Amino acid sequence: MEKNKISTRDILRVEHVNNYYSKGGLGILKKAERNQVLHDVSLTIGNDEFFGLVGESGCGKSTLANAILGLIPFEGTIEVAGHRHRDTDRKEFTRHIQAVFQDPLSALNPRKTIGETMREPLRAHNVGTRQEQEQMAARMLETVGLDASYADRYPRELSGGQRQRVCIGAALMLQPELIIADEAVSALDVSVGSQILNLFNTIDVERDFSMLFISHNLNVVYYLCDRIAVMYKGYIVEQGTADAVYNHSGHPYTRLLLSAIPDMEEANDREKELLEKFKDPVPGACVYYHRCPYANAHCHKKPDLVNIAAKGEPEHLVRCCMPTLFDPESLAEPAHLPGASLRKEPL
Amino acid sequence: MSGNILQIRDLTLSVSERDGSMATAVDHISFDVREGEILGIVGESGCGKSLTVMALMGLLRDDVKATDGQILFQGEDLLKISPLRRREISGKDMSIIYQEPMTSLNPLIRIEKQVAEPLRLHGKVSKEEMHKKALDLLTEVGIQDPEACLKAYPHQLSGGMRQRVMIAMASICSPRILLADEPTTALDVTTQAHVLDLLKRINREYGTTIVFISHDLGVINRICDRVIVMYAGRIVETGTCRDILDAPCHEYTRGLIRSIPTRDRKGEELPCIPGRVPSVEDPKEPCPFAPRCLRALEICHKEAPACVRIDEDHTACCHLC
Repeated sequence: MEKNKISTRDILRVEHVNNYYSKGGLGILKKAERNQVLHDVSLTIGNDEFFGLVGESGCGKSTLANAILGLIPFEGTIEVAGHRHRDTDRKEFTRHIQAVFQDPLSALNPRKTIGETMREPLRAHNVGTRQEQEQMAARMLETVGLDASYADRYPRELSGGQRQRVCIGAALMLQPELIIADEAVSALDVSVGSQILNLFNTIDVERDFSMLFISHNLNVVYYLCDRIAVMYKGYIVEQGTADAVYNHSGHPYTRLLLSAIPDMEEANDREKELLEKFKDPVPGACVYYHRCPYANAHCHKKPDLVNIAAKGEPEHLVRCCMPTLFDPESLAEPAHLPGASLRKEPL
Repeated sequence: MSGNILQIRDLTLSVSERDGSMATAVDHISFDVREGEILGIVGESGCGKSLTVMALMGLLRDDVKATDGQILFQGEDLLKISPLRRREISGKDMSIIYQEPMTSLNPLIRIEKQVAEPLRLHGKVSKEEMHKKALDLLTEVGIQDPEACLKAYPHQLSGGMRQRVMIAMASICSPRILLADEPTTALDVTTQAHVLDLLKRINREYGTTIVFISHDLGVINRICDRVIVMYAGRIVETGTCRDILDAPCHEYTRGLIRSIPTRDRKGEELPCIPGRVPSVEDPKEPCPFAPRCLRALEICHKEAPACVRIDEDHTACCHLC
């Protein structure tokens, strides 16, 4: 039941977003030494679309999420359901966007009952009477697969999976157009994590919302999302439909991530080599240059995002100096780079 | 593989509750660790896998007591030895790597001193020798600039490097058994792959026996020879890696494998295990998995299942097999 809905309007538009943090230094010197965390990040999420964002820790996934949520300053444009941070009241903004975080226990107030937590967004926005709020909370609890009687319990009485269900329910209370799920299943047990993934899929059928799903696990992202973006050191290096990115990856980094996933394949595949080859960094070269096994003299420049999809196909962007390195039709090794012997080397 | 290096018999671990009662967290488990193998222990949180390994290492918290059973290592029962003897064994014959390398390294001490600490405690080794050994080991575990690393403090290293330092520290006295408690869970997938390769190399080249705990069946698949599946403080299935992953017999193992999102499951509903992992306080069922089992029979709620031998190495505790 792959979703093939045509997006009528964009729920999230992120355009040319840059973000910096200052490093060391004091006072006015701070500005001189600043690190760029996000480099010209652009993406759009359509109506009712699940968009996955993957990358290693420190690649800027959560920074982007925080920028979208308006929690940190940034340069560029971010528009959620037609609203910009600068022009919209912070409170008004929360009607359109809500987040689900990794650790549900720290996200829930330990001194509030589940019912109080669920009603809080309604109360803050003056939606309905107290009675209506209680009814809505009870209905939402059932939507996320919990009994309405849980409203009187405290977070500590719930298991990790149940707590995450509460977080998802609370995020959906105001019917926001966009949910940001930052590693929402990473902290859960395998059997519980899959229940939550199923829950996202079933709620999506009942209620319309888009989601930015952030994870380091490409398998989970592929399973849940319609489109995927891969980030590396603050750059989006690949972006396209889930199928294109996962099955016909165009960027060596995506292929590295895929090769590193410990999977359930047969024993012969267990000795899979990592597609990684370390070399000395070259100033001004492609951001992935020092790890890329295919890098050569062509790569001594900053590549732009290039669309490698065939005509008529959905966009498939790759940030690589040799965007045709991988034939998108097959995963065959590039023929023009013989003996690209891949040596394993430590990080 | 020659014989068993560790024999665990009827190990029972109880946790003291606030009201003074004892709850059984690990319930009469018995298994062998064979010399030179990589044994995986897999299970979800709260199944007792970490407690089991802590018991092997003699590092149980104060509120956890081993109330029954034996852990036999070279004819000695590790549960009965004196603290002095335990200190001789720890770090020398047996050592451990934890999940979070940052919290297990002392932030105020340089790497060199920490890596060489087991040597200082266990052998009469000169300073120069210690330095040389530490340097060799860091090179061995794949640290590119070992001299600089020795002088560094833990916060200056990346997560992967810290875990490599931990592995170097754990293996500096060439222990016969290396216990690894979720050593890659906190790492990125790419770093994880490197650390798994490293552990495998240590196992192959030095014949170190490794007991590897994980909740991730994919990781288990990449590294282990034999696997023990634990659920709610009991062993529900044991077998070779291929037995467990390709032909699981216990409903829990099957459910666990089925619930992993893989390439060909996109868009389908994941067949997940209903309910949740029971906590220690929950009332004990004869078969711990019966309340969540989709195929549970009447007998499952009345009688504890016996362990059935399916294959040479493959056993499962289930009425259905």
